[in-house]
Amino acid sequence: MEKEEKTNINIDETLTETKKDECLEQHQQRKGEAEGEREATNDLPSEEFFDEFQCCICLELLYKPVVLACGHMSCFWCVYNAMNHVHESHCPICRCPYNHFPSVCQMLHFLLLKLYPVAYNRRERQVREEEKRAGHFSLQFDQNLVEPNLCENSDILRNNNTCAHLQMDGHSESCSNVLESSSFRDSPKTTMEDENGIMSNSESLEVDAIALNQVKTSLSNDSEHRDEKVVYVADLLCAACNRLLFRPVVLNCGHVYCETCFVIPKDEMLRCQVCKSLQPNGFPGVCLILHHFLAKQFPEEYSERLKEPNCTLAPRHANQLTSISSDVYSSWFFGNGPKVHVAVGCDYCGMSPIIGERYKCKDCVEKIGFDLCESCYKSPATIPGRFNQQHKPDHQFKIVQPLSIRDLMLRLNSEQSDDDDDGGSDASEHMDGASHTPGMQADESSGVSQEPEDISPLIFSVDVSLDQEDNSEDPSDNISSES
Amino acid sequence: MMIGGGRSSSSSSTATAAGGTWVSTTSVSASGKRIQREMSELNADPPPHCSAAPKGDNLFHWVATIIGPPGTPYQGGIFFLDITFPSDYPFQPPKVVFKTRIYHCNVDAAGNLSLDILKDSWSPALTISKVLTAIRSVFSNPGPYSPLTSAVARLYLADKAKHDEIASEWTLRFAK
Repeated sequence: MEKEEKTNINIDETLTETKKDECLEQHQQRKGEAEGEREATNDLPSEEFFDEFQCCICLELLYKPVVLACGHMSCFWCVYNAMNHVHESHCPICRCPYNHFPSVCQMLHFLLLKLYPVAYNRRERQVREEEKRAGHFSLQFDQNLVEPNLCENSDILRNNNTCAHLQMDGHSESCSNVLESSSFRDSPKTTMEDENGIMSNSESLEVDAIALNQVKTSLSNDSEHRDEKVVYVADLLCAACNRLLFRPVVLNCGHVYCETCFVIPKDEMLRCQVCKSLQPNGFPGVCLILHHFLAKQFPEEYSERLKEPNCTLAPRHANQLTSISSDVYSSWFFGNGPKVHVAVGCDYCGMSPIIGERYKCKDCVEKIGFDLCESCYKSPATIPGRFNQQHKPDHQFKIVQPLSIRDLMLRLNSEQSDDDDDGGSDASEHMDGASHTPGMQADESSGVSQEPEDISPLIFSVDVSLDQEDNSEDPSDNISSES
Repeated sequence: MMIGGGRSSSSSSTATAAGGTWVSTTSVSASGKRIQREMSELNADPPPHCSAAPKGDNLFHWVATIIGPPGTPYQGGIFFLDITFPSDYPFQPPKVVFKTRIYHCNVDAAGNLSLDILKDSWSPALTISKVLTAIRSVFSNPGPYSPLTSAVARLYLADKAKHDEIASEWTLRFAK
């Protein structure tokens, strides 16, 4: 992070640093490498990109980035953990409400893998270890690319056709980076060993040879184009116009479009043109981090696009960012709204918690389960589940009723007493609070720092709805709550 | 998909109890990593007139200092704060307590402080550095309409000169 350090690092230091890549100081080290690349190739301020692609929650390099409807992004697991699974969630950065957990943006995933192969693979190992510990897994893209029987999934998931070659390119290019930036003999060897570690063993030798060949070709290619460009236009194409993305928007399904290319039919629901899945959150916000990255990486292409008349007037159709109003959650707790399945999310559209009927797969064996909301059940998508569940079309579903408020409170309480290190006295206190809810807010001065947070959203929404229902236009809904 | 209802850190047992509910994946190691990262960023780029570091070996207990901003009755005072990170940090806010006595309507006698971003308005994108900056801004702009010590707030609204006089007296007595 130190500004002075950036200028002091020379190529020799960078080299020694690339070798010991298991070091804890990976952030600084990345900067060192980036600086080395920059010095070797005139101007590529790569270390700034690293800051751009830092997750705001874990403060590390984004891993499997998820772009929210407002255009802000975080790691898959960071978004998941930051979500409120009782009612709508809020973006950690702009607090914009959302109620659908978007899919991982594959294009960004492969972009990051290409830009920072060493750091990204290190993150992959870290996260995989944590996933193994927790017993829950995020979507595995590498598997999809390797296994032929999952090809139809990966086709749909990919933003465009070129992505298929991205991973291979990533390997060869990273080698070429090191070759170019260092021009030392043993440095490429170490990085290549490192990267082959994540590939299947049988392929690795073959790939080695291919990679070496590609290094040579890409070296000659690079010198023709510009000095060093890790990312090409082909990596960042719009799913609709197949040109370089301009003011990119990322849909709930993870596909990326130019802001102007994502056309909304006046009468219809918004739908992704690639995977045909519904876009539930209205018109998504421009992903500014990617936008700035593109503007920096491809200044000529970007300025050209700016001149095009239709690109500057962005279509501002739907401004509502949440499709579900917050009243829905509170009205369920009063017993007069649609069902709300607290802590259950839809594996296709990502709606969390599920509102309406919940369809639970009877045949999926994963611990996390596989559930669908009503609309996804009726029009099944072809995308895989959020958590790498091996769901098959012939699996059977059953309708599951949501937990009642009573059960929910009991469950929350049991959870608290389970992991509460202050012992059981708190649990009884919370039972008390749960039975006559307004009392809950009063105990914030006591030592229980995290527990009230879990329930308070619930209570707050109940409070809010009381006011709202007084002047709501539907009198029939009010009867049950007021009587 | 089923989601862990609470953001509990170790809820494997609850998963079975609630019929296969999602388990939160926040692990202590993940929050430890994040705290470590904040530590190195704080060292590299500390916020003005603030400092923070772990108390001892425990990463989850920090001590922070804030120097009273000039132009306020707290000017020149060094205020110590205790910061305790929950095990599922950053998904829950850290607990911040004043260790140095301060005459301020948003801080009670026990050192607890009322700050919205440390309660309902917490966001996992906030860092200790931002929290300290926010606390420092409360020094300059007290919130007398949401007080913890109403007597101080009343005096602040009724007779600011008197309030400032007492506050600087306290600063001299406890924070220097």
